[in-house]
Amino acid sequence: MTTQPTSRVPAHLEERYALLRQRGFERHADGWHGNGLEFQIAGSWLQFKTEWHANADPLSDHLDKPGLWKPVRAGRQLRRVFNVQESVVGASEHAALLDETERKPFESVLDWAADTAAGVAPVDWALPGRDAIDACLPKARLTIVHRSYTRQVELIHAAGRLALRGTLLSKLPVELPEFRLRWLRALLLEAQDDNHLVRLGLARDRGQTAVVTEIDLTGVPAALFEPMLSTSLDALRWVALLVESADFIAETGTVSRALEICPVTQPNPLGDPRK
Amino acid sequence: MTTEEVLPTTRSVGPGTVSFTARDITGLNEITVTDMPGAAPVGDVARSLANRLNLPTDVPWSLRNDRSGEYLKDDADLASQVPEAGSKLTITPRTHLG
Repeated sequence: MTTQPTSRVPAHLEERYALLRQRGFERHADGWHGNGLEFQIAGSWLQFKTEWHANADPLSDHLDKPGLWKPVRAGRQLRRVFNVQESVVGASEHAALLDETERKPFESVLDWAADTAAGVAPVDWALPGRDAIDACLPKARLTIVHRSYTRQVELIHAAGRLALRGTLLSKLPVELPEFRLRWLRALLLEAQDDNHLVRLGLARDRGQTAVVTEIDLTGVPAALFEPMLSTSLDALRWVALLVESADFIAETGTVSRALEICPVTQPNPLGDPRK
Repeated sequence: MTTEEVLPTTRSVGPGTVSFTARDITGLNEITVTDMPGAAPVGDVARSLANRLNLPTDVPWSLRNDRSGEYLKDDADLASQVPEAGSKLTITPRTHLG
């Protein structure tokens, strides 16, 4: 008689898998599928995926939507992804071990992803108070200086909405040639593929178009609020380095023969953020 | 006859941005800034202006309002200290006396 070696699954993973089964998810080779969502552990991130509407613009239709969902190119297709750092959830699970009355952090994340995938914040979500936010958000962290550029991250704290938004370029020139706009879109799409959490896009307001970065924390579980806020600011700070390239492309006074060649959009082979 | 100074009604080109003119202490280099976030602390603004004016970035800089002659407070936000459009600021090395 031969016996198969049994692989021991850590208890916290068993607990997560049990919850997924309970919520109607089924195990597949590439992760868990259920309720129109896919779940997998991608490196050090917990990753949920779902469909992206075919005709939607990945640089504008995802802005101002609740939760961490954003479009990422997978091969030649677009998927919506929602990523949360495993370490953030793990630390929170560790802290919650002593408190049996609290909902488990993974369950909160699952609800956060599922509810915001449908475009709404979780029903029982309470917007953190401004005092609580100010206590863990030093004002200086909202200002980003990169060489000659200064950018300010705006905290959007309103009924049913919590988000961080930065402006890379406050106003695109109306006379920006089409090929320059294509280069700018290629730059933003690639950065959106490559960087976790951050949405990049073109926000139109009163006839002007701004290049923005955004992380929407609407619906964030209370236990994850502080680490997610901190991680989000770091992510926005990193992506703000793009301002130089974006400004160069959008500067109509700059003559560049190279920019007159239309960019060839490269598919993202892995379909996952790389950083 | 009395004349009344008319201040421009707009001072920003984008949401929350402040426009002004900045120059170095020699007055030889001057730039017009139109996209500075009003909520940014003056210390950070001075740092990025030093970069734009090709000044050394490894020394601390201060901003002085040419009109009032006052130095702007480093830790306060720019918009509260540069209230009117067309302000002229001079970037100067921060000196520590005593």
